[in-house]
Amino acid sequence: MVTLHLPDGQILTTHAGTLEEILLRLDLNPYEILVTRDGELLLADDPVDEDDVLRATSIVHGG
Amino acid sequence: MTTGCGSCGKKAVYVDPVTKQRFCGEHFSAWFEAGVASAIEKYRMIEPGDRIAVGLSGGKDSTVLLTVLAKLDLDAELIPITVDEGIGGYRDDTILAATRLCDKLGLADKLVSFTDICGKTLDELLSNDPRQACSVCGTLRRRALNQAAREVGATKIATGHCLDDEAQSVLMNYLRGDVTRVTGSFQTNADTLFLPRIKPLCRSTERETVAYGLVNHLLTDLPECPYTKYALRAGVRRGLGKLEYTTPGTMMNIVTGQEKLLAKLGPREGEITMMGRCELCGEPTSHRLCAACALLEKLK
Ligand code: SF4
Ligand SMILES: [Zn+2]
Ligand SMILES: [Zn+2]
Repeated sequence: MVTLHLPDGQILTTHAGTLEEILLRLDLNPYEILVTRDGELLLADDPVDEDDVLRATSIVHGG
Repeated sequence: MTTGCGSCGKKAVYVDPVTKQRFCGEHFSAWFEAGVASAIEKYRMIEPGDRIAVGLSGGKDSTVLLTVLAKLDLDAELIPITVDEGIGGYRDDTILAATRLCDKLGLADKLVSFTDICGKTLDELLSNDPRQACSVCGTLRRRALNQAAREVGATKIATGHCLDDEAQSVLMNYLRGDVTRVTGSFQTNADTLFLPRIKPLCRSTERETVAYGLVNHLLTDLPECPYTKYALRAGVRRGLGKLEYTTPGTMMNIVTGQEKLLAKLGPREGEITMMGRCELCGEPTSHRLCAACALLEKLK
């Protein structure tokens, strides 16, 4: 399973796919979320494999 | 299948959703910095010899703003100002991040707190009604920043507002039916009583700004403000974010459309002369009390 760590500490899991497919499947807006793997930014069409660990950064701020 | 950076062929880490241009980290950073420089030039934000007070919360946008301003070859002095609103469990970490960034850039950070300007922390001011958090916070932060900027002899105040914030503001004025604001001054500083405000990130999207922070390892994990859930523009932001995903460039269209509208309307000078001074604190205002004093009176 792909593991996605959200900024608020939540952890989501899903199957492999492109990053965009994964975000949409998890009901996240790809515009609002930037995702890194091993510290490197991923593109919407980058493939994500089973066992990959991803970190999400929300571009949203309060105020 | 994924292809590389349009300039050097290395693995791309960012694609501009509008032009589909692909960038490696290095070329993305150069492109982003050039975009900020061109906005500064286009809107003549900075003149030689300016002393720029930079609002530095320690969050993503202001961290990127100060880093890029320090990197651009500007003939101006930068004076970071950090406002401590007094938000338990949140502000201490972001202030630490702000101080660390200033140390790294060799700049001295000026700290000013809500307690300095009104004797209370935001948490104390909100003890009765946390739902007003963001409007109280925003009004008093503006006051604190103005006051501190004047104290350090700044000629201008730079804030980290980006294209998304601008587009949200335009839309919110329409949603409120606020014609005065829809047709009011925008990205100009007609009123000489206030320190001019500049927004060097006003043509950079929030997504680009945060990506710049990530690519350059500027961002640390920070807690969220506990009052975020009361943020005024949450709904507008979410809606616009969806539109920007399905139709990239929407936010730029909103903001440039607003500029065109104002250009068509031409300057309206009458509104500026109505400015007077606040009876309590002397800040410029068109009412008896300025927004900050009126708010503090109400919260008493
Ligand atoms: S989310 Fe609201 S209360 Fe928190 S720092 Fe931003 S404006 Fe202030
Ligand atoms: Zn490149
Ligand atoms: Zn006042």
